[in-house]
Amino acid sequence: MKNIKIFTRILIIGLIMAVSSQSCTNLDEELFDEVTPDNYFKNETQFVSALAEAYTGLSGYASGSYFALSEVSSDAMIVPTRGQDWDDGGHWRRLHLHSWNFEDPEPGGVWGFGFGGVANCNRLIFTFETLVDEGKVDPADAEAFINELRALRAFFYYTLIDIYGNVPIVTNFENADPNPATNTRSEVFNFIVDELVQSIPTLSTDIDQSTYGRMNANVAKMTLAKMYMNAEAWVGTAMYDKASTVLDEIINDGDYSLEPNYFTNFNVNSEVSKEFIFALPFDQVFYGGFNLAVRTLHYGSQDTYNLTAQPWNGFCSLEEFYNSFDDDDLRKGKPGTIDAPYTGRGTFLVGYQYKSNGDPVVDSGAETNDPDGELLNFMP
Amino acid sequence: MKNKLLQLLIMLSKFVFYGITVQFICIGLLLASDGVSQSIKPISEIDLNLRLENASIKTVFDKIESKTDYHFFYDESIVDTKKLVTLKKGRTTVFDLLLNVSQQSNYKFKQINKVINVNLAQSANDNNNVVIEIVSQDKTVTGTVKEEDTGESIPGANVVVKGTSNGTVTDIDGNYSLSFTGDAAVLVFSFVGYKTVEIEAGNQSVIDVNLAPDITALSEIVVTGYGTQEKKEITSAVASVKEEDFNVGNVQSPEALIQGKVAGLTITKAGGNPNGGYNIRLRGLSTLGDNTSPLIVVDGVIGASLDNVDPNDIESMDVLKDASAAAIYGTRGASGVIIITTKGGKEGQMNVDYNGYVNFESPYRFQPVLSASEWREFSSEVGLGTDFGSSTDWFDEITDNAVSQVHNVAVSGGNSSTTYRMSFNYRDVPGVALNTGFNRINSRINLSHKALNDRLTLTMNLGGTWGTSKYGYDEAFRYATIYNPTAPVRSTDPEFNKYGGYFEQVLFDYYNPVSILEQNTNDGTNKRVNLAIRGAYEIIDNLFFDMFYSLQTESDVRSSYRASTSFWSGRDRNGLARKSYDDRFNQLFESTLRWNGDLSNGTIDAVGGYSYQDFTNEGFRAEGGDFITDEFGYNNLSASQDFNNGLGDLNSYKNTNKLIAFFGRVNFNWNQTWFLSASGRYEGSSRFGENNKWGFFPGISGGVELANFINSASVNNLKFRVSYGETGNNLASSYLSIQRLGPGSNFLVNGEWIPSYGPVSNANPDLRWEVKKETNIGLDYAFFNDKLYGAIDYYTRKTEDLLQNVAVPVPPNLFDRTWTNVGELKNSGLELLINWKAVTNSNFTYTPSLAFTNYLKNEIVSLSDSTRGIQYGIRDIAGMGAPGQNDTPIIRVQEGAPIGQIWGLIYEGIADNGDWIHKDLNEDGEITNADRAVIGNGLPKVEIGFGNTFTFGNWDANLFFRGVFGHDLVNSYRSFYEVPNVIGSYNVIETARDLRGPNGTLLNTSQGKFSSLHVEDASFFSLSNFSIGYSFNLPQGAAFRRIRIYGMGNNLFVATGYKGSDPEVRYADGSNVLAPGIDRRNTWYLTRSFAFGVNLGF
Repeated sequence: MKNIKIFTRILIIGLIMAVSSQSCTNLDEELFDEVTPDNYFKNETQFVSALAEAYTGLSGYASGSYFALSEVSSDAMIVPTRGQDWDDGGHWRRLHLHSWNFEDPEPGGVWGFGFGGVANCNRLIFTFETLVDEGKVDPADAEAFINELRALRAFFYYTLIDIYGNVPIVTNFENADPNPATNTRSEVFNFIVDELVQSIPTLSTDIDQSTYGRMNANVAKMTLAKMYMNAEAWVGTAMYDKASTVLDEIINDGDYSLEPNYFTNFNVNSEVSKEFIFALPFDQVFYGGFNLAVRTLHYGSQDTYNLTAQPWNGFCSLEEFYNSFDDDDLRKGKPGTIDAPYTGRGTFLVGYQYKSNGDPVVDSGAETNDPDGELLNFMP
Repeated sequence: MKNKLLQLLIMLSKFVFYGITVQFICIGLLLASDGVSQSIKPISEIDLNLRLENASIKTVFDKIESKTDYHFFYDESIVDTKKLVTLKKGRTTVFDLLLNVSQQSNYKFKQINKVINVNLAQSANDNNNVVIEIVSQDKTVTGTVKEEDTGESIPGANVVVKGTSNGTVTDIDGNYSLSFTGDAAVLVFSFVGYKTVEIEAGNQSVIDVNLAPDITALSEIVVTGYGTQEKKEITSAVASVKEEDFNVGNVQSPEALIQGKVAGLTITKAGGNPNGGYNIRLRGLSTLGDNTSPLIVVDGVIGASLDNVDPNDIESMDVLKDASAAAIYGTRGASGVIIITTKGGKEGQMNVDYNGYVNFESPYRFQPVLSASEWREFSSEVGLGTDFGSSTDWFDEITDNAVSQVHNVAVSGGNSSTTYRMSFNYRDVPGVALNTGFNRINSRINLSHKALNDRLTLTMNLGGTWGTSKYGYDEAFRYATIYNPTAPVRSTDPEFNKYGGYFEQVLFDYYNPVSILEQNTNDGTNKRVNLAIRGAYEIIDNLFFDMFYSLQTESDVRSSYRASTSFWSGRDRNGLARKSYDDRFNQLFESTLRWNGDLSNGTIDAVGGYSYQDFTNEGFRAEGGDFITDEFGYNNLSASQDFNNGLGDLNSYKNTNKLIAFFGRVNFNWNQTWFLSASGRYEGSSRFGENNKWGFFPGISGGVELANFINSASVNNLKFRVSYGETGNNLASSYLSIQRLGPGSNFLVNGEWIPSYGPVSNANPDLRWEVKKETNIGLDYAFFNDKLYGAIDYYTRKTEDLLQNVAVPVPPNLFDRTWTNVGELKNSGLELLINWKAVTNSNFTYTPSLAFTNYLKNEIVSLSDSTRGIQYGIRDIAGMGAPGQNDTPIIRVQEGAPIGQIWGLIYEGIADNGDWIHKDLNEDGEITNADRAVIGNGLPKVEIGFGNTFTFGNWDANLFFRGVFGHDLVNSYRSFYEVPNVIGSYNVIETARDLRGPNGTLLNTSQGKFSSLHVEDASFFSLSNFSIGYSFNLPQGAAFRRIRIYGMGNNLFVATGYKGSDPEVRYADGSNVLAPGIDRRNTWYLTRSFAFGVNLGF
């Protein structure tokens, strides 16, 4: 009998524990390795790091679908089928032959790049406006961010009007229509121009570290100039005068000039160049993703440049494009020969290839009818 | 206070244990001496000195038994042995003693040889009349009663002369001796849980009997959620597989035990990777989310880890197939439930069992490629390829015969109040690939204790696993297949010093596979601990209150190092080390109330309860390269120079979630004829949106035993049943319903890099449960004295509100994918189970069984919701990949079509000029994507498991065949390398030599181009496992209770038309369940194994 009492006590204690300390039916989520908008936005660094999200997606401008759709479709670049590789369902071929279809990766990819940027700008504009309403941020600081975001959104729209022409204009974040109607190309054109013209006076005119990689007045003007330059093609009205005026405004200040050495622009530390108006500051540690080198170079080029990764033997230029340059044009470089590596830096890489130790690069997948045999020779 | 109670329990159990042991030994002595002494004296002639005051009748019997050769035999339910008597006479005859007892109680005695039968006196008069009868009998039969399957002796079995109360029980070794009159007597052998056997004594003096477990006649106990039921009462689709029906051979994990045994349950693993997991799927695909595998419940622990259960410790696996059965597990039962019960101790002496075997595993089937001599011949015909002068069999270079050892020791026993079983398992299982395999120690302790007049049952299960694995790199199989057979494995040319002396060539996606496996490491240690404690208290008769607590921790450490000389990976980072720690913890608390009630015409069982479970996952990972030495591998990450220059990578995470539920079930059994069961679970998950956290999942089923209406001796059971149920599916990740911000890539602000902070996903506050609705119609049957029995089931199921990560427009969304509820899946199927006791002679039995599954239909009804802008339509997914086949989708996902449509060009041949000829479906004169069509389906139509069990004398044998039919496989190797010109870079598939036009011109392209040519019917029929064993006859008193030696094997043959290595179904492409049927290039080869082992019982 005594034991039954003991057991009953344990039972009751257990039940109380079950119902009270287990908090019976509470299903709230607890977050550990991320934050919510409610516990963020407490200091200036947090505001700027939120703004940064609008810029980080720009890496796709230089190496993603936007680059491929713009360049491989031109006469400057091609992605040929090479042996077993790069046929890829024929989409590179269709890109170059201008016969792409909606299932191909690039047309959809640019949409994601452009509208992803637009959506981020819309969200941040909404966020900063809300923070002003809630009194959590100095309205003046928020205003500067919002103007910067409007100009940046116009830049994303510039890529969209360039690639697609007519697209929906979406500016609100909350309660946005999931199926927005499209706007005509001229409506989109006017929207971009208006946004840029309105924001230019509010943007920073500094050309220094504080605006490097960011939307300052000159970047907005450059974007505006690109709009005017394309106006005849896009909306049927030539606006070259307007373009000229805007460009003069940029140049006449004397803040930009051509580099005495053309190749300074292509150095690893290119930030010293006076030519750049808008730079995407790629960095091995902090901001990777610019992979044109691996896209273009041959597998064997790994030993030429002591690259950590094996290149892909993919993108290249075309013979006609190369030959369109004068023979004494520095950009053609000095090709490597059967006897010696290339001697002059160019923007093209031509001729026989050598390893960093001086041995010639051998292509073990060479076909028997290759005129150079196993030796690797980039022919224009 | 708690301690005192525990002490008391231990003391109590100790005495009971001693008591029983002493009694067993006495009986044993008594009976053992029977054969020696032939003279039987009547009780009136034996004197005894016995004085007892207020002693129980039991004590009297014990005293008499201990001092004489007599043995009392009685039915405990009739004779109250606690009744007290006083014997004061001192020295007198046994006859007088018993007469005295008889006068003080109400019992009469009858001596038959040495056995004294005790029974109730018919009336008061009886007492004075025939109190004690002495019958001398002229015949004695002896023998042993054994368990049919294991050959173990059965102590305590009843042996009775039919129609009399003359009988005895077997001793501790299963021996008995019984005397009676006349040859016409029939002996009845019986034991609880076993089938009763009747044998005519005739003139035999020794009768040995094997008792078979009484499980076939639907009396088998089936474990359902939160309870058990007899098979005959079950009205939903439930399958139970007991230990004796498990698969044998190279079984390293629990799921392999029941592969092919349960109709509707497919368990697959392609290739022989010992560290590879199984893909388990019940009744096809019913969700696109994370939980495509059934929920695992081990001894009540919901969501338990299969890694922590050694196959040797499993007693039964019960599969809840339909939604009405699984509804009691509500939210996680949508893909079915597998309930595993581990072995416990049994009342009786301590048993020690050892089972060990040595397994020899070798590669069985390869993807056929050219040998060095064939390569040279074909290379010269094609005019491509470099001959490096060696002859290398790359398959042979990366594999080895793997010899593994498995040892299991279990100690079990107990008394009427406490039972225990402790096991220790050791597995050393190398893989056939170089430097792969695992080593695992697992231990389990199961304790059960009854107290407080058997009203309280306490059980504890503690299981732990410590394992180390060498995972190797699956890529080695891809490169071994395509590596040039004229290339050497190693080279002394200084050119190759930078590769560690391994031969390498600079080509796309082409690396020396031996170098990959020998230079790099990829190791893991895995720990699992599981503790479960249950207290069940019978508050009043038949009303039980249960409290259950369990905790489970899983901890994984993964470490890899890629050497600075490894060309495949490692050289690019000058050595690369990775280390990660992942920890998963969950605890479950449940309390339930159970009631078993008797109605005048039947029974009613009810259970209801509360369940709380929380989960915590956390982990840490570091990766860094650039080492000055490869010597210490992954063990000293601070030596990585990447951490000095910012290229090292670190991350950590933590997340939690909770499930809370209220559940209940009622079962009715009316007259053993009508059955009804209803259950429900109201369950909430923290992962869903604020207003959608809770869901209700009901199940109802009913059945009728038609055999009770058909008065035919040949129909033993014919139970028709119908069920309907709903089960839910939880989200795969936490926090998807709330808006979160996290660090992203970096941004340069005033010359300094800071991380950007932005949303991590589209928040969806409307997320709610995915619901599966299922109807099942079934029939359980048993005919001809239970010789032919089984079940037939038809099911149809529909899953609504599928949880999916769907494409959504941006804007308004921030990301182009959102987790949401959208769409519907449907499928149906037919399942058939047949067991047949074909031959049941006493020295030869043959029992075939067949599990047959026909997947009738699966359909993606919808994946869209136009009101929310979600349009799926048609998508082509699962790209073939590099080289040259990026943007070449293989699978078409289409609303209104079945899952698993393989989509591509239709191959028609090779033209005279060597060009491909593909079918121009739209007749536009061009071969484009528009010419693609459905060219196969990756999901099977029919699956069969065909078991054959034999016993002949001391021999036993088992053959298990498994067949899967109607599924296609995309042979990726052929799509890439069955191209003659590929010989310029890689080895080619041997059939590349046959790709010729009508005039003999070889295919002239060097591009692999996926088409129907590479889609193969992968139906197969295999001898999945077999065993043959011999049990020795052991003399009485031998050191061993049991010795059985056996040999077994797996994949003795696989009959298939598939040209690749393993025709097994690929249920998912990686984790993509919408893309089944693709045999990717990194799959391990199919292996075959043989094992030799021994079972010992002490």
